[in-house]
Amino acid sequence: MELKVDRLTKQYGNKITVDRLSLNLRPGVTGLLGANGAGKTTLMRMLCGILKPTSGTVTLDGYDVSTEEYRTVLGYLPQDFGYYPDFTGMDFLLYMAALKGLNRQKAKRRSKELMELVGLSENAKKKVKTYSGGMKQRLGIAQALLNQPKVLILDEPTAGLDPKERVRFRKLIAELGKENIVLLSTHIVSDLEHIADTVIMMKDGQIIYNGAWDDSKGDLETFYLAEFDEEGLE
Amino acid sequence: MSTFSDLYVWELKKIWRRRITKIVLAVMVILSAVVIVGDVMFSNYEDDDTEVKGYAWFQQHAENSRSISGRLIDDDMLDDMRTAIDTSEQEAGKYEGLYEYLWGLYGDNDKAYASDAAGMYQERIDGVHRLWNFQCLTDGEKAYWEQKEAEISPYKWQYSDGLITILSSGSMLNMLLLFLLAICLPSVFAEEHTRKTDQLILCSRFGKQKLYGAKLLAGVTFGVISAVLLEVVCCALSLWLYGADGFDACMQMVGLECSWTMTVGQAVLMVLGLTLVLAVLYSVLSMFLVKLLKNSVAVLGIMVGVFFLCLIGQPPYALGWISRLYALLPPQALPDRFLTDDRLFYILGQYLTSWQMMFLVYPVAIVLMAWLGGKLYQRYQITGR
Repeated sequence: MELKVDRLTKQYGNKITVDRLSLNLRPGVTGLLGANGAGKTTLMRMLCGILKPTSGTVTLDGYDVSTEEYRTVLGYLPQDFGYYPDFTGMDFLLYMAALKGLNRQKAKRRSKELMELVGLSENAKKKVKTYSGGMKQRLGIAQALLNQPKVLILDEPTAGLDPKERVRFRKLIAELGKENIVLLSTHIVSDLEHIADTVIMMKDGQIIYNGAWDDSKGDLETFYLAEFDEEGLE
Repeated sequence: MSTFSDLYVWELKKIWRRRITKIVLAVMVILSAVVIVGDVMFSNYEDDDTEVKGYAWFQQHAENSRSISGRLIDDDMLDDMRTAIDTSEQEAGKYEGLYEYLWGLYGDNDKAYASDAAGMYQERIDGVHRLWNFQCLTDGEKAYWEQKEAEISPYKWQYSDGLITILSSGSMLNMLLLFLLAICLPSVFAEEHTRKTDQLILCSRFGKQKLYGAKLLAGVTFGVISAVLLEVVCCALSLWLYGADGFDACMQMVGLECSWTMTVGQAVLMVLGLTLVLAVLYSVLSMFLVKLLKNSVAVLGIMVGVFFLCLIGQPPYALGWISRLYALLPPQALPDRFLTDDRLFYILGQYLTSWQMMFLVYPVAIVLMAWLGGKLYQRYQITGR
């Protein structure tokens, strides 16, 4: 299984947000680092097929990003994901499950499993508008996993989670990365250090580092801070 | 259940769960009921210097009219009317409706009283010819209506107030549906953008094609159910108050200058059918416009604005095709307008009236907007934020 990104470009007027970016992703966790405006979210949106590139292609084992086959195996958690305030958490998952093509029985079973996995079982029947920020984020993570995706794209998934939840979530990501392609963007370097098989750093729409990171290369955070102006970081 | 039907049910739930949907629907149902019963329930009439409650007055009026219902309007009947008027108030009451009908024709008390049948029918046909000239009909159109007119006279007096009330409520239903659907349905698509759920939807397996169909069908279902609900309220109240008599009455009982050969009952069925088509059209239009404008308030503004513009202004009849096409705009689909609109559309060697054209053009517009809306939906990109 291979996700191929070939000379992917996104240009708005004179501004190039993603600049002829090429990479190949295989099963494992890939961490995406970069300052605000580096092009991470734009890249992730193009990888999810919700933003059309100006040029270049994204394919998974030959299937283009615009095909239903590609979307069938895709899980996505956007940075600022929306919800329906009058839906209960369970309703929200069941609705997303229908969108992802799960039949009713499977949708119910999988939604229950995921509610338990993200620690929302007790709040499953409560309306999403009553959820805290962290609970909403966990619900977002659950919806991304509904279809047991082979490609999981997570844009700042740990935002809003407390330290305990972050540790639990890191373990989950590491587990998912064993068999699937997981691309994870974050500002928090410590989220990646122990789980990312590969680290990609982006600056001004281009990749400035792409490769495995181990202790022999030094401290990832030090390297990261050296590459970016600290003022540009959150 | 298939995924499509699951999505369809979810979308219906999403429409119904919004508080605004329930509030606006309830307001429209109450409004339609008040308009139908208002005149009868909340007004009083004077009869021999005594005040009579609206309901009692209408009951008496109906009873009088029913007592002469089914009689051919000929010299005998007009003689009986004069005799009754000269005899007693009670007898004259039976012919009150017929007298008012004649007064509407002549606009003069003496002429209404003294009219004979030949004069009455001639006066009517003169009025019809004046209307044709006013509407700048072509010779072909006049010949078409001449044929229809030849089938009409003489006709019977028939009581059909219940059905006539339903017929005239078609205009109100049109307006209420437009408001209801312009308020409730744009959110079917707009909500996904404002709540930022669009990014989850568009990258899901069925978020691009099946969901569009499910949303569209759910919106149309809501539109049709609302239309049926409003129609049931109008019909039930009208028939309860005025009775269900006169299905076979001629359309000249409704409009003096109307040249239609269909019965009042058939016209009612046509208007109810047209209202359902309008419900589908307004549903699809509001959902199409919101995809174009990405703003539900703008959709409401445009739909209501165009509706009132159509009510206020009409292009001159002399403008020919422009004025004819204008008459096909949905807000013009008002029975009190197209009953006496004799302009025709010559399509494939056949003349079609404006309401017949509406049944042809609206479904085409619905399909076109649904198709274009699908294209817009699938091309939507998540940018900014």
